[in-house]
Amino acid sequence: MKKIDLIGIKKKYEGFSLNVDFDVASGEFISILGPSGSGKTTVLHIIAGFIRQDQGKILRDGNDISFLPTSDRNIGVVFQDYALFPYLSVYSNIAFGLKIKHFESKRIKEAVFNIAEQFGITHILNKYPDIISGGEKQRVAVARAMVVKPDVLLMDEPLSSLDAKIRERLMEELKEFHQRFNTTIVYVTHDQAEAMYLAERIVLMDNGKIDQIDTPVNLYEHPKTLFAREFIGKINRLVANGEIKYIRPEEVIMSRSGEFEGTVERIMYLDSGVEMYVKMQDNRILVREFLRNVKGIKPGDVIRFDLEGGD
Amino acid sequence: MKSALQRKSFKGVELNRILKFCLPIIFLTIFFYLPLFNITKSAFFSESNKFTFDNFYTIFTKPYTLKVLSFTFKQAFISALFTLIIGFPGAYIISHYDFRGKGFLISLTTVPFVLPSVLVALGFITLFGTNGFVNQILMGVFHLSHPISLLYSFTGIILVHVFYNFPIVVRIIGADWEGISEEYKFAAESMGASRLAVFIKVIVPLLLPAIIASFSLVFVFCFLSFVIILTIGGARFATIEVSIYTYYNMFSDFKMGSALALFQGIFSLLFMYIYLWSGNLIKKGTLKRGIAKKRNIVKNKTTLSLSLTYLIFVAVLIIAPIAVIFISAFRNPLTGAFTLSNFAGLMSSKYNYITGVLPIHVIGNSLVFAGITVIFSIIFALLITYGLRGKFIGKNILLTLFMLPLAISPITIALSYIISFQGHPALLNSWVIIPIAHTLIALPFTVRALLPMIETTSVSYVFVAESLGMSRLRAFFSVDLNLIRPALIASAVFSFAISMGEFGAAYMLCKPSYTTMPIALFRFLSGRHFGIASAMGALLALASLVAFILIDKLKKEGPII
Repeated sequence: MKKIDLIGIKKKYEGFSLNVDFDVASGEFISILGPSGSGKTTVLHIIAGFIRQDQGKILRDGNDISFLPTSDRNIGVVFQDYALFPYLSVYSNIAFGLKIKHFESKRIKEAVFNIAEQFGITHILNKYPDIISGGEKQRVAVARAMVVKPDVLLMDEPLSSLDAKIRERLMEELKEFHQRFNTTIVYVTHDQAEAMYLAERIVLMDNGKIDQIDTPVNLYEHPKTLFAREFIGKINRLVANGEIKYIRPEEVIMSRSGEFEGTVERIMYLDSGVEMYVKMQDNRILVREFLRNVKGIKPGDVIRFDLEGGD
Repeated sequence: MKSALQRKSFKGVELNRILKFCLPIIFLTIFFYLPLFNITKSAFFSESNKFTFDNFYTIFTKPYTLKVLSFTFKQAFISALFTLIIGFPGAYIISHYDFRGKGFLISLTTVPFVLPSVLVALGFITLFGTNGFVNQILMGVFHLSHPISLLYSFTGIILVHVFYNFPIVVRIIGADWEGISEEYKFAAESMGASRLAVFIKVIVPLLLPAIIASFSLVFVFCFLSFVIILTIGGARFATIEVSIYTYYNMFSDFKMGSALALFQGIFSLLFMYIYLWSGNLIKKGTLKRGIAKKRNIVKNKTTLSLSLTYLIFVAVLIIAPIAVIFISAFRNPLTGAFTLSNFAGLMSSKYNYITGVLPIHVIGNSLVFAGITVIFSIIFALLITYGLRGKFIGKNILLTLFMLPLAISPITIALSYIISFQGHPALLNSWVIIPIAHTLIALPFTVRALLPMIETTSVSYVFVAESLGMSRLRAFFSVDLNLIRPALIASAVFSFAISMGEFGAAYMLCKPSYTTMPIALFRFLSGRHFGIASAMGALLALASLVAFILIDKLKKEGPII
């Protein structure tokens, strides 16, 4: 596994300009997170060589690969819908890269069976992509990318087209996969939960620029910009005495002897608990609570609470 | 209680279907399936009504028929192959680049479906014939002693077939290519594939269904080629279609004709089947579809010049043969001066010995036949498509039965009518037989044009109308017909164009008093009366042009057949 450096990468399109600088350590799981149109996929495509940057350098372990064609970059790519070749069996999909590199057929067979075993997909090797499940598709796509032993694995929103249940399971699988193989992974997503759970560091992007690069915990607890605050998790923006304060919903603690009071406007029952909008003078704040703590409370009731932390 | 209710409504629906199918099935039985059965009988039974394989034995042993068979397959194969090669770059350009006039270029790909083949022959002869424009220019510039003869040869036939059919390839392959997500290419490149490897191992396999589809469709069209062989090939060449006609016309031999027609039918059916089957090669939904980002064509100098060369070549190939018809319609064939006398000839009795009636009446005949064809085929197609709407057991079999005339050649249809209706001269010799044959030929196209529209039009609109107090019949006229109007007009125009341009069946069935425009054109061409041929050709081309514009306006997407 190798280290990747992006130095002063610039790319201009009509009405959009990309400008990024960051590095990926060997064996690191890094996630590029941002809303659609932030340029995160463009960054991935530049690393892969699908798009050529206007300026800047890409280094792999210090060697300049900025102008290397994709086919010589030794990367693995996993796409959103996996792009498994529909006319090839699972076996041939995995063997594709090895065949392109003219490996002996005996070695191809060994390598395919070996990786198939590691990913638990030996039983579907003879099947075609149209009849395997979403989870199996992801495993095949990762196996296909990994079998050629790439220096870095690029993943472009691999979970976004799956439903919530299976997504959770596959996130688990991916994390386990990274821990086992210690692969360098660049993972593009617009979903903060995926990035927070999977990545060791997050590159938060907004409108072609990097907003903040940090560990998930730091990004959540110490967001440096307004954008970071609002993109990562939900946050309340309170104005009091001309001062602005940011408070996470879970930092609003309900208590009978609370310092503040407000009127409940709306209650939403979610799988993770309850969210309430509470009207408090000029502000309207979001409160997150356990179901048991809000029993009996209905819209129109007045509640008291404390505000913790906040910066 | 509930299940009883369901069963009742189920029965009601099915009865409704059967009622709708009645009329089309009666028509197809009398004018397609029974005649087809009679042709089969005629091929397998001797004069003394004994079962025999003699006719087929003759086909495979006689040098003449063997030559016909090998020529038919050979020219169809080579034509389809070159059509594929010429069409491929076009498919690439329209699927990968954006440029001005692209919409028009895509529209041009409808041309082969509405342009009568006899007009194509006229255009090519006017352009490349011994006295054609190209030769006149070349002889003037280079002082050649002999004209270059491009036509009246095997090469000539291939050339015209390629011209006539390559837009089909551009259309079918272009549509698929456009839909292939770039991620397949990226995936292959990331695994180390070069540009060539990406093309061979990714693009070609993904395009394979489209390649097979367009190849087999063009193959069928060339396999059944008739008037182009007669006019461009000349007497030396005969396809199976031509020889069926020859056996009937020269030797009054129905038996050999029937055997040949049967043999031909099996192969055209096979290739039609391959055409339809190829769509299932890659299962829908597994192919990652995305509209690839189009590049501006002007970006790269090499691509620009290559594309421009191709586009100019295509424009010349498609537009020039039609344009010269209009030019020579206003030209004195001998002096080259501007004249209206070609059109005046349409009103004179000078050519009555060729056309049987005044040329102007010929135009009237064609218009009347086409009008009747439109009415017949629209009524049948509406009944068929409304009957087929929704899901039910046996739907595919029924659809196949209604689409089958597509694979049967016009000459076969004409021969089967002559065999079947010999005993009913009032029918066989009546002009009605021509619009009937044309309806049969047009029906698969009209059904195919209407079906997707009717399948996707929600039934709830009609339910709304009925719930507001409209009767079912009134709802059909004021709601249904409005919803499907574009598709309805497109398929009407289509059947009109097919009838106006149809040559083979009309030629074989026609009596002098109801000569049609393509037949008159063919006769003028054979008699080398190029002036009047161009005048009539120009009028036919005008009709096709109107049809082309209407279809282009109404039917933007989807396969034509």
